[in-house]
Amino acid sequence: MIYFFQQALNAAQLGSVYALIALGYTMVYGVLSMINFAHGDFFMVGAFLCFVGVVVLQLSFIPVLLLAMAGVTMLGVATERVAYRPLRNAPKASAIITSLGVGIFLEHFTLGLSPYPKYIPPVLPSFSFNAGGVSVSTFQLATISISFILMLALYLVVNKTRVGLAMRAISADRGIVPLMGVPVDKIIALTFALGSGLGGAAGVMYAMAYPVIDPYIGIIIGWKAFISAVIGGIGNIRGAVLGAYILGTVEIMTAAFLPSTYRDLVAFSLLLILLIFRPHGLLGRAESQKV
Amino acid sequence: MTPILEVSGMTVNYGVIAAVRSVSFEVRSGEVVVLLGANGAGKSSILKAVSGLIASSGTVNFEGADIGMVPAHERVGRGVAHVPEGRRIFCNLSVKENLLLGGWVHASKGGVEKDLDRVLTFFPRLKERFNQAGGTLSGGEQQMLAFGRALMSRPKLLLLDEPSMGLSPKLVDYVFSMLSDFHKSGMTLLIVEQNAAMALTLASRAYVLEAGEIKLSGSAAELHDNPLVRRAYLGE
Repeated sequence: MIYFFQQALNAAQLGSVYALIALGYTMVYGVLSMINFAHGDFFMVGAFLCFVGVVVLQLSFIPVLLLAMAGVTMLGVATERVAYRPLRNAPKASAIITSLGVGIFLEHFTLGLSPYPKYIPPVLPSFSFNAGGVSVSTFQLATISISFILMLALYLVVNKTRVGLAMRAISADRGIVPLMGVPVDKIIALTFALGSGLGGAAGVMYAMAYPVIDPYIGIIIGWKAFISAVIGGIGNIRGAVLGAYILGTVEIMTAAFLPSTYRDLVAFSLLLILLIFRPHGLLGRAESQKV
Repeated sequence: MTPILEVSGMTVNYGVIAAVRSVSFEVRSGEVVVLLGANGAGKSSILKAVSGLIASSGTVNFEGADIGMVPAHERVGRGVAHVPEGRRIFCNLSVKENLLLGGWVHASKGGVEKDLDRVLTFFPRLKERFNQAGGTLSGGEQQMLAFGRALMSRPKLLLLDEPSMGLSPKLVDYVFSMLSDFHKSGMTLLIVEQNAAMALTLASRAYVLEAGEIKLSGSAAELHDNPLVRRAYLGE
């Protein structure tokens, strides 16, 4: 039983990282109906900024987190402005293919700067304490609690502020939002800023748990987070969080109770089965075709 | 009276198809002007080009300034509000949120509470439904919400695209009485409407469009008696 709770804690940690990244996919999809496939690489840049903060600048944890979030926020806003906005009215495939290109560019740009994997020493004092037989590390506690705070902040922005209201309106019917007097471009840029910032935070959380990073870590983690968003219903914010914790739990429990090589097989099978029965995800709604 | 809106040489292209071909017209301050024409004549395109939803060539002068290059969201701040065809309220947002979006341009400068009060006094039904999702409203209530949302921006010029579409005859009467109230309160209206008979009773002047061009124009009374208009739009 204690083993189970230990694994549940691990699942919460992994789920939190997936959730922070999945939010970026789902928010961008919400306002643009576009999958930003470079988002996994935004997350990777966040992990490398964690390296820069910890090793190069020798900052402590909170400044490192802020550095990664701010850096990836700027990266997201710049990418939207330079690469996606000019394609706003182009066929959807153009923007999606561009995002794949941006992702490959980021991977190889990072590879150019850092040809070898980087090790990030612990940025928090690393110790574990015992909670009823379950060993809780400072990293786990930080990851879960900070993710919770960031998700709560996002919830408040989306549901309680004017900008959040505009985001929800754009997600519902982008075509007429300008008639409300809402500067759509600015709101879309802000959406990218929020989603990318969360991805940057996820990079730091990930690097704390798996401290050896290379420029390709964003690919598989990005896919997993994207799957989380799809499981929950892409475009739906609560769905992304739900999907992330489900996927995190399935992965950890598979590895805990079955041969660990089954992990991704089980995870992707889950996705395929779910999509047969709920093609719009758990909380997603069937979109009516707009004219 | 001076024109509040002066459109000259407006052309709208969708790819290779010209939906509006060098159209010129004006709307004077305090007038109700109606655009008549068959489906596809370019009426909706003209409204969208005036509000900035779609690009057009030619000039669009609003209150003496060329707003042709001004983005749509800034035109709202200048006093142009557009109630789109099919109402297009945000179904998943509450009535309150729909109205607050409509008041976006004034929200930072305050006064939104006052605007909300004004709109809710005008449409008490919306007050009853204040926290309900827009999608749960009846067709007539959705039309009120679409009007209310537009009024939140304190428009000087209200563009209305088929305001009576899909409503029961009783609600059509109600919609036209509301439009008449808007007019009396000092707003200028530019209306696209299938229900030509009703529209001409309200309008001061009208333009008849055919295949993207203006074919006829004149006072509402003149057009009402014009045999061509009577045959094509008044069902005689």
